[in-house]
Amino acid sequence: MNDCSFRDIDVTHPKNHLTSVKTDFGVRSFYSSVSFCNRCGCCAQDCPTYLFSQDETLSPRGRNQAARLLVEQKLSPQKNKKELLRLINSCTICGRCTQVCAGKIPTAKHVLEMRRLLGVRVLPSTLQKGLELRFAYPHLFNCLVKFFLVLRLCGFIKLLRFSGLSYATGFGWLGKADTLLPPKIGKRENIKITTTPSLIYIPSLETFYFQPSVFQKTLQTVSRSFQPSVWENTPTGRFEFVFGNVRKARVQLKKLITRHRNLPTKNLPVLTDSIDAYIFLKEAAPSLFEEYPNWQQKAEQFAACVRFVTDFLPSGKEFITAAKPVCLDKGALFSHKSQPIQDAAQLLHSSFAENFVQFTYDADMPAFAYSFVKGNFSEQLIPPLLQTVKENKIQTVVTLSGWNKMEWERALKKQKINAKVLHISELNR
Amino acid sequence: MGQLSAQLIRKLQKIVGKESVRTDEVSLALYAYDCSLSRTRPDGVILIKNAAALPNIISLLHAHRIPFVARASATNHAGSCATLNGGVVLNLAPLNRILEINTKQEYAVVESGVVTGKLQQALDPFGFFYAPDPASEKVCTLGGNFIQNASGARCMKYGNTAAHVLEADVILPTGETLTLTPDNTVGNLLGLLAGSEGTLGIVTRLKVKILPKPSHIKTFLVTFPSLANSIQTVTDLVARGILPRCVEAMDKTTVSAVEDFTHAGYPSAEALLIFELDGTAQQIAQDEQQLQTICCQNGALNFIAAQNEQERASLWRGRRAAYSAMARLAPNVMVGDGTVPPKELPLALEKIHTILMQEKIQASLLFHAGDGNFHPQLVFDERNKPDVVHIKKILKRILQICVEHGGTVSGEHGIGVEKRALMAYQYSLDTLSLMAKIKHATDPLQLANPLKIIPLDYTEKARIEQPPQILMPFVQKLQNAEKPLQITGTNSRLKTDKTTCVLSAQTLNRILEIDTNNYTVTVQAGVLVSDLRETLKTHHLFCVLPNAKGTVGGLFAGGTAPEIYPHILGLEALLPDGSFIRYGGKLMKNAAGYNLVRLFAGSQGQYGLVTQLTMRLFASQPAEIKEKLFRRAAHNTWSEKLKKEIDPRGILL
Repeated sequence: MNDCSFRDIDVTHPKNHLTSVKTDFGVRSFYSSVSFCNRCGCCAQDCPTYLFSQDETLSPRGRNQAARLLVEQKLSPQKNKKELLRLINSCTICGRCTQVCAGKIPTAKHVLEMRRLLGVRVLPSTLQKGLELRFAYPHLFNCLVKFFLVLRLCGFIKLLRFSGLSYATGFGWLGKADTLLPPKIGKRENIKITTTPSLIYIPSLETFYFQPSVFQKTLQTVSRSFQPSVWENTPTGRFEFVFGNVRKARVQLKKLITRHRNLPTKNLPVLTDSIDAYIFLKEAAPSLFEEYPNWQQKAEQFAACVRFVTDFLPSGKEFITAAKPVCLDKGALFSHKSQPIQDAAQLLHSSFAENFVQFTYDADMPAFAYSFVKGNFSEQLIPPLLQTVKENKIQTVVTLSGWNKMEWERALKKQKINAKVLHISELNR
Repeated sequence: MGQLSAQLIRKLQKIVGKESVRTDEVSLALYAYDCSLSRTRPDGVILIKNAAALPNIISLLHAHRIPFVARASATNHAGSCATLNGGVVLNLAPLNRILEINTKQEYAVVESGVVTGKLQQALDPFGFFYAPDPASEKVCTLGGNFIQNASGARCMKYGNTAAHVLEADVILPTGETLTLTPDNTVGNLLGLLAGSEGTLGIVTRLKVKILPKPSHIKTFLVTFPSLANSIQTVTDLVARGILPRCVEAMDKTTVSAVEDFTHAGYPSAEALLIFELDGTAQQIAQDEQQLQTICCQNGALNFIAAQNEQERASLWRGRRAAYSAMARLAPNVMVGDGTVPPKELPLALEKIHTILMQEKIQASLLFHAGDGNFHPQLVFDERNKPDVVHIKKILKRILQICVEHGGTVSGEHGIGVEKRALMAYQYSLDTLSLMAKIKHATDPLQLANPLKIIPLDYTEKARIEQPPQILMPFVQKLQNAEKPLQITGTNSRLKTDKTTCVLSAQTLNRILEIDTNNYTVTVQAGVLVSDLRETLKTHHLFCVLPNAKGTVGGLFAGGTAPEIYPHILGLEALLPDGSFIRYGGKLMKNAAGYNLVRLFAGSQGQYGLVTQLTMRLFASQPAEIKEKLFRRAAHNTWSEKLKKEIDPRGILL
């Protein structure tokens, strides 16, 4: 997978252009991959944006055809930027279309590629700098986060918003992040350092900073049978992959893989608490090295070691507890049928039996997951989902990532729905 | 914006709202295609969120002479959604409300954009189901199914969409709105609309038949040493009065492709059949025994019965993955849709196999064995232009073989633009002229889905077919008539007096053929219903016919038994100008062109003289139907237009 722009594409030999995508049937060039869409339309009724709009331009088939027309230079990206941005920014990257597609067309990946090619697959610059700072100087980053919270307590953020400054270029995300993030950073017990770990735990950014209870519970869960070593502030390249800087993503992944390979014990399990991180490390990461077979092999070996919390959670009433009835949030990037989601559903089913409410397909919208990535269309998916929660008198919503938990809590609070949101690791007694 | 003026756009925006009228390049490009290879950009796209706005929109477009094409999911394989003359695409997908489900009277009322699978889901808790099941039922819409007259695996037992629609609200291309039922006008225009591919009007609301779910379903997988054996098995089954819920078949190439892909555990064989029986447990147990005996008699190699729901799903897994198995091989899969009389299937398939081998085409062959409908799936790369030309040529040849074997170029996918040229191969000049007249009468400005179905050069390409000698006196009488004629037959209920000139079909009273291979009977229109029933009884065969005094033609054209229409497979007729038309035949399915059987059904001789009918036979007694009281059919605006176009001299009373 390489960086490229539509200008790089030679229309006489579109197959030869640089970008390629990993599909269920092997690696294909971007053009070839979008061309495999046979326009049968089987994806439409599984696409949340199509179900909402009933508009072809917001269907997976429409997105693939737009990508193809762009590559074939039958649509001008300059003249149609506004419409194209609507088309690609509305995609929730949930990957449902791929699950139902006979040819397993990875539309979500195509959308990310299009975002990158159209120059919109980038983090807001301030956030980007913040993340870079975190990797380079973690302590300074911690101080800055605390400083940010102090500013907010003093009402500075509100002032910024009312003054209109938060709408300035590069600060747009601030308002969103401000309402989303918890009011304070919780206290976290000191992490014990072990020299002979039997498991590596890479906490996600949101869990580590804003969801200490999730972090703590996950750690507790695995500590029963493993000697975990926590690799805090470890860049995995996920943000870079999703937002577009593939080279950086590759560099960070290489560092992570090398660190893992250099451990005294080989092939230690690597635990993550975020479904999106899991899908990235397990499925997307090896595709980043398709031009480097040696590294690809290493990435695949690493991917084989990646585990999710559900692999370590015991099932049954004596282990798992939550206010009933419960439901499962399947919001995730790229796939709602990933193994952890299926495992989580199985776990909840075996532990709560009839008190585990499985939503019908229409109500089971992938509304929550990295709102930065998904664009504003996901906002429209939230009300019906909340309505279903209300109608079914759900007491506990179980999520598979800390970020989803934060988004759910915010939405439920806004609608004054009295339901608790728990990360799956928090179900553990 | 093409043909759309700024003023028209403003008017349209006033009706549907600003955001629902699209003229941006991206929208136009993405509404330019369906599942076929056709791609033509429209000049505008309108999202229809309220059916009440449609008549105004159509009237406005009609006044401005703007062509329009209605579409919803656009899963069509024939290019029916392509806007060949530009104009406007009307997206009906937002009309997706189920308005009523009435389990007592067994019907559901839906808007045309309701997805077929969603209706099935909604009916499920009530213990009911909607019988037509196109393969794309998860995404295709009921309006689309009706306008294409789609069918599916269950068609053999339950019939196609037209047989399950009880009522439809339609907007004619001129903007008039009508409610059609099978018998509320001259001719079964509801049936004529089915399969018209949006060229005769737009459907906004449908009342469809729903059925109680069978208490038990059992699935079987059987392999055979040859295709001929498998087809013979199906014929023998029908002969014993067993009508499976569906019979799906695959050839050897498909079985191995599917097995490579899904590892469904299908045994290797030249032909594989999947049967599904439904009914009560006792019925199924009886049928299963007979099924096993018949399969063994025909040399079945394996007979696997699913013992539970899990095993049933596993048997279906391979069949359902057949398309996926091909879709992974190349960017595009072209799905053909030829249909031949079931008896002809092995021979036609053998020829097709030879062509595919000679041309080195990678293709799989799936077929609905019960009704002679098969789907060759040819893989190719659309980006490779010579490849596309080659594939199109092969598909054309395959469909020509179907016609040569008494079949049709489309069993369920329709004609659209992709098979338009082949219509001239299948139908005679007079038959195509009648279809052109129907289109012209309904849509004189050619605005509704223009340039579809009827070949542009049919007057040069279509063959001229002379009427059989026996019909020549009728032709002469029609051509030389100076006074209006009244068509009558034995025991005709149309009142005549001494001054009325009569065209009597009494002499056309022969049963021409009872075909026990295809399970059809061909009769002349003047055959008495009672005679036909008696004759069939001696052969232990049955037809869906009431116990009536008159003739078969009278019963069909009189409109007193609409239940028989789905069982009429083909007809021959003389038009008021003496031209001879032939439509359908021993075919269980025919989606090529307008359904002319339905035009003449209940038309009471207003459009022409039906001379011959081909009907479906059964080996066991179907449910008895009753004849309704005869009443003179009343014209509505549409039938009046048709009458004027087909019979401009007003020669038929």
